[in-house]
Amino acid sequence: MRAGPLSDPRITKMLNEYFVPIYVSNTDYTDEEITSAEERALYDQIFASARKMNKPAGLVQVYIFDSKGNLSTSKHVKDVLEVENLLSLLREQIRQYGVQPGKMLEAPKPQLVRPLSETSDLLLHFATRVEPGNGTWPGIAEEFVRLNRQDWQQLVGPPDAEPGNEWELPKELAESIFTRIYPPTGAYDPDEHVFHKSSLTARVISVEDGTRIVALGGEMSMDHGIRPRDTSPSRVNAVVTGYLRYKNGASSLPQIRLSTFSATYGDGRFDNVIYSEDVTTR
Amino acid sequence: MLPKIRLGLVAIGWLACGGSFVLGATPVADSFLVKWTDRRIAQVRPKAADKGFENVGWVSGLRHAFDLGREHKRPIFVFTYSGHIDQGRC
Repeated sequence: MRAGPLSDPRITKMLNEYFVPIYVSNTDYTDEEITSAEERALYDQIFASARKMNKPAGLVQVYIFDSKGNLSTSKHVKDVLEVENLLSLLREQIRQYGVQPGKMLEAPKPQLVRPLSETSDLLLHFATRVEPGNGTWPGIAEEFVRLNRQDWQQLVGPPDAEPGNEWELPKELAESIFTRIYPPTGAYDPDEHVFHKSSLTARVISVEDGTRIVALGGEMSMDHGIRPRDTSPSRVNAVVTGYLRYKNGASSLPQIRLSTFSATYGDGRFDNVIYSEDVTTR
Repeated sequence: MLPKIRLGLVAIGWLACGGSFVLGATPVADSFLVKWTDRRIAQVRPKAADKGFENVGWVSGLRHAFDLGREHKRPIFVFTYSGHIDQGRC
């Protein structure tokens, strides 16, 4: 839905001018630590209303309520995945309620929020792009991972490292990075995987005026499902390479940039890049 | 996707040059590594075209959404899903 109808300009315009648009994650709304009791009660009411009216009441679905909060219609996601289908549904609702276009009620903003971090943390931005197929979704997946000072210092290496010096990174650190290298699938939880191989090596390429360039390279192989709790998950195989730049003794953070050299999920290819966010943009 | 030809050239170089080309676990020559990685990141990182979804003024919280619906006499569009749509993982 995100890369399909919910990105279509005709639909985004219609949602902004005629509706109150909201998305609700079942993952968050069933978690007492994330969502308040009042919100969870309203969430439960969505499905209860649909069941009461003998309408589809699935978890991955579009529900439209009238302005008084009464359920008007509900559609399973498969019925509105095509842009034209969702457009007709929205048009039908606009006609039914005689809604007049108005101003956007909330200003659009980036939906992926950078996690709060200590100034000594290194924030890594992950982006994965895949052609649809093999159970993957089209579009892009992105997320942030924080490395604390102790972690990123292992990548940077000892202060006296010289060109040619090479070291193997701890498996736990390699896996904390590699665990996000998988295409968008229905199994959204990055912890739901089994590693078969994970190695990450650092090697100093050059040191000039106290600034070192360190080559990073590694290989990973892990199982990751197409759907949650997949009993026969597909295999992610990837070769990763890139570099980091760091000024010795500087108070600034290193700049880390990595990319998959090759990456496959089952029989299909995907691309993943990892780059540290510029500290000045935080 | 990385153009196959470019990936192919790097791979041929990698194979052709053997050990002198490959140091450690890095499959790209040191002299190309920075440029190659930067180019890859520019190709793959999210672009404006990937962010159409963020052009919607999504409301946060069901209570707020229903209140706005009443106040502005608008229907409420609710999309329920599992996972993290903000990350593109759902």
